[in-house]
Amino acid sequence: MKLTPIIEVRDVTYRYPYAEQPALDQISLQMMPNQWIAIVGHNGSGKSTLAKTFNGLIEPQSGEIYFDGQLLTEETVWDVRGQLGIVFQNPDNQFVGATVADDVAFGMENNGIPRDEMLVRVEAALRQVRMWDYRHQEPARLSGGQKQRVALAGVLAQRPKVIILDEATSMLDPQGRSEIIDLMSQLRAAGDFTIISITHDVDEAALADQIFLIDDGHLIMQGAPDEFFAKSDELHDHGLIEPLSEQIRGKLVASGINLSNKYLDENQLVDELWTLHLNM
Amino acid sequence: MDKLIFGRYYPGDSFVHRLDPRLKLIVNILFIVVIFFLKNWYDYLILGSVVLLGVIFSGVSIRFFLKGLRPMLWLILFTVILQLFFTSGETVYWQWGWLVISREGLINATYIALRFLLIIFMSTLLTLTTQPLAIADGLEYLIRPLKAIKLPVNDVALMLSIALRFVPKLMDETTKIMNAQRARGVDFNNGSLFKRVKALIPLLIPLMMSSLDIATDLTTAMISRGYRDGEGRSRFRILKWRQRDSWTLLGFVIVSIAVMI
Repeated sequence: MKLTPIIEVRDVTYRYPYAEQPALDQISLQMMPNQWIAIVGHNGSGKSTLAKTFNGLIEPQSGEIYFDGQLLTEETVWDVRGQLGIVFQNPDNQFVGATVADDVAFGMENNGIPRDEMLVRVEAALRQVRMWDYRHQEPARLSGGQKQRVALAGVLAQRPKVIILDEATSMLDPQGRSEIIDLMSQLRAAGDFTIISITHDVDEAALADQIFLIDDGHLIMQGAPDEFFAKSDELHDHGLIEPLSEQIRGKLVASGINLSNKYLDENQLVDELWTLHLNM
Repeated sequence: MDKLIFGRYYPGDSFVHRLDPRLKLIVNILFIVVIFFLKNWYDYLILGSVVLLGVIFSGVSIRFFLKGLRPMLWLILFTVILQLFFTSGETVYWQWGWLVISREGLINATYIALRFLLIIFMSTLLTLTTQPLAIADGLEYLIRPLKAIKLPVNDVALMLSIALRFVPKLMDETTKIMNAQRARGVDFNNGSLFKRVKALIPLLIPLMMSSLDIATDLTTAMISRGYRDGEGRSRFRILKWRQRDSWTLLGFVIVSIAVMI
């Protein structure tokens, strides 16, 4: 049986008002369900714009978006917004509620979910992101990483099929950042949803199953991390640097050391190095 | 700094704290009406005791109530002086040109001062014992009848709660911009009035820009979380009217009727 892509983009073009170049230019791609997908590209490459077309925050001038096989239209867009949650970049500017619990409930209130059900889901979601103890706190008293975890809880409480992190870690300190990334890994192991992380951090992208490289509103290439990062020339052409382990591997290969010809994460690289001349 | 709008909430768990915000709002409104029907000293004494009772049951030190008085002091003084010198009456104690101190003027001035005092104490009791958000919720409930004249009550309530939520954020933003402009040599504290007002321009314009940015981001986030309008939404935060609220209201209404007849 052929799987239905969770998100399919067909020939989408979008130009911002007054912009000369289109932000998205005849772009087409497919994303499969229950994967961790990374969309990478430098600032202004169109990657965030692309994500905003998925739930109709931006309406493309031409082309079609399918969510779980269903065409995105004015009628279906509200349904899709209930199933696709986005955590945005700025922790402060997406916190709607006056307290942590209120904010988590906001999306459910919009969908008219009964209060008893909300109470259950708010607690479950806040426990999942380990923010239950802060439920009565006001946002002003939280750190950036904590606010992003609350935003994530708000998304989780809606029981979405897709969670998008739109550079959700880029304004956080290293600790807040690793908290969010750990949380995403755990969530992915626990639940069945698709995670789409939009990022220019290649280390974050390396955690994904599939990576899409976007530049000038085009899809440049896509692939699993091991093939993706091995194409360092293409990455450089589009303003990205491969992860540290790949840089080291590349330099070692260039100086004549015989390593395998694909991307290795840090552990794999270390293993390969220490077993290199092992004759067993 | 961040409790600017609705005064200073004093966290606590007293009887008054636990009363429903709707009750506290209703009592405040009734109180202001009733106070204009008072006729003699006994009535003031009775209402004064009601307020005192509230203060005692709130568990908040009287100092905080006196602080609430301070910003109103000049207004009270001004009104009292007007009443004192410009009320003519039969028993005149002192006269100089149009300025008269009469028995009636003296009584009127005292009554006015007492009215101010009681109203301020009562509203301070509300703001000290009720969280701003709870006041907003209470207000939303009380203005519900206005739906009949097409006022979007739910949207207004959401606006109010978002405004409250962003007060500290905008304060932070203001401090940040002030520091940035100070680093560029803007002097906010010295110079003539004209100079100081002019120094506010490089503060206000960036502040307005950043507010608009925040609003745009917030709108995007709200839409993406499925916000359409106030209709068809369910409520997470609810108010619970309890027996003690009914009893308090009954008690207050009885006292009000007693002093008014």
